[in-house]
Amino acid sequence: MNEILRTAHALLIKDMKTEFRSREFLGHTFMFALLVIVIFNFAFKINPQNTPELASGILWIAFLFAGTLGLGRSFLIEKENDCIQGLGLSPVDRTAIFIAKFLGNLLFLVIIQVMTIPVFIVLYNLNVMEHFTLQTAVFLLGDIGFMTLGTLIAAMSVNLKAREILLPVLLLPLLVPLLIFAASATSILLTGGEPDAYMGRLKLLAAYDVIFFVVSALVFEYIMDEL
Amino acid sequence: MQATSIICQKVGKKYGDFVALRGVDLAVNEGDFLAIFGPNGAGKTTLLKILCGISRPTSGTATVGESDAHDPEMRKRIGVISHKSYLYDNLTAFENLVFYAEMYGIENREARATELLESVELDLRKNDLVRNFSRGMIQRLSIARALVADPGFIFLDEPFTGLDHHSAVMFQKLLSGLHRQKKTVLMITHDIPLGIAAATRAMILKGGRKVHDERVNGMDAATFLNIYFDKVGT
Repeated sequence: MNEILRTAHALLIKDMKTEFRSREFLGHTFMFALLVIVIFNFAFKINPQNTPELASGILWIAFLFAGTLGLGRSFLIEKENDCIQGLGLSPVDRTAIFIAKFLGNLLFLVIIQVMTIPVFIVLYNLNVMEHFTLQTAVFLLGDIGFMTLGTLIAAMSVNLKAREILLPVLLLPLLVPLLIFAASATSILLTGGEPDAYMGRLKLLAAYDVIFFVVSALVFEYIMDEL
Repeated sequence: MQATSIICQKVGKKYGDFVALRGVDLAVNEGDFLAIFGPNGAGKTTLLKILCGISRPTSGTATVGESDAHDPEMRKRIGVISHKSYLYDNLTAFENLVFYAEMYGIENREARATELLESVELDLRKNDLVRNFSRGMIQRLSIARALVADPGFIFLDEPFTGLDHHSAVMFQKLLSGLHRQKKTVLMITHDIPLGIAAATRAMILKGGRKVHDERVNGMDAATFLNIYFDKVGT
């Protein structure tokens, strides 16, 4: 296990260095998330009464779209000069590659969220982080499930010609349960709903994360064989 | 007598309905330098992918150094140089080598990277990003990357692609050096003169089948070209 974590750490540092030096994607994805929020602000008749109801859906859709954009990037770095082949030739455990890519994508999404949420609070005049710890738990569990499946599907689609289209087409239907649990948990916190209902959603999110993390880590080795 | 280090027995590979390899038998001795020639679609790269453990045969068996190349321990003993560099453009030459050294579990990673950069004469450019390198420099760094774990087997896939004459000659010298170190080398190339000059044995694949295999020590390229066109047609 130590060996897997050591390799995953090295891969993650490598990904962060290359991302930092290319300085392309984080800014563009943040702009995209921002645009989604602004467009929804114009598309719906937002008022103080309906904001708490609509806010969770708008936020999660913005994160889902922006995160999907970032996922496409995570394996494209490895396609450059066929580095994915270089990794495949090395004796590293494939699970380490999965964990590194998952953590990189998760970190990327968390950064986008940290940048987007303050803008959302100002724009919609609604403090979505009022219950900071509880809301952070929802975001983290939602992000983990999203990035677990996203990392797997991004690896599967990286060799496809129409990958930009196929990644969201394959991923988003699988994320529907996660979106329902996460958006409703966020909504319960914003509208002052039942704590039991909130805990129920949180447990469902945790179960979703565990199931898909285990399955994805196991399946990833076979996907690497085909890359 | 030299030990046999690479053995293929009736190796076949199918991609859907397409048959890439049809029962290829091969035995390569330790320290041999085998060049594999053949037209596009002959199955050369497929065979190499099976031998270096990134693809599995549909039928037959392939062993390198007495074990399956899918075995992680075996992978440490195989170095692959391709026309694709497997290098990250946004990392420096040094960072690339240290990264791969880490992937191969090398202890003194930084010392090994420095030593390899000196051996391919890139030590003065160690802190430059790979995206600023010429094709010849990238190929030299690619050799250093492949040698990071000091492998006993070197597999090359079209290594001369995109190299100018000067870089190709320099690359050939580096290959000769590897062969002198008694490493087992297996090279796929379309460049028959360069391939024959470097190899001790040559094999021709056509349509997924082995159609020719002989020792070529001292053979001139023109003689082998005649054999090649006789076997694969013009």
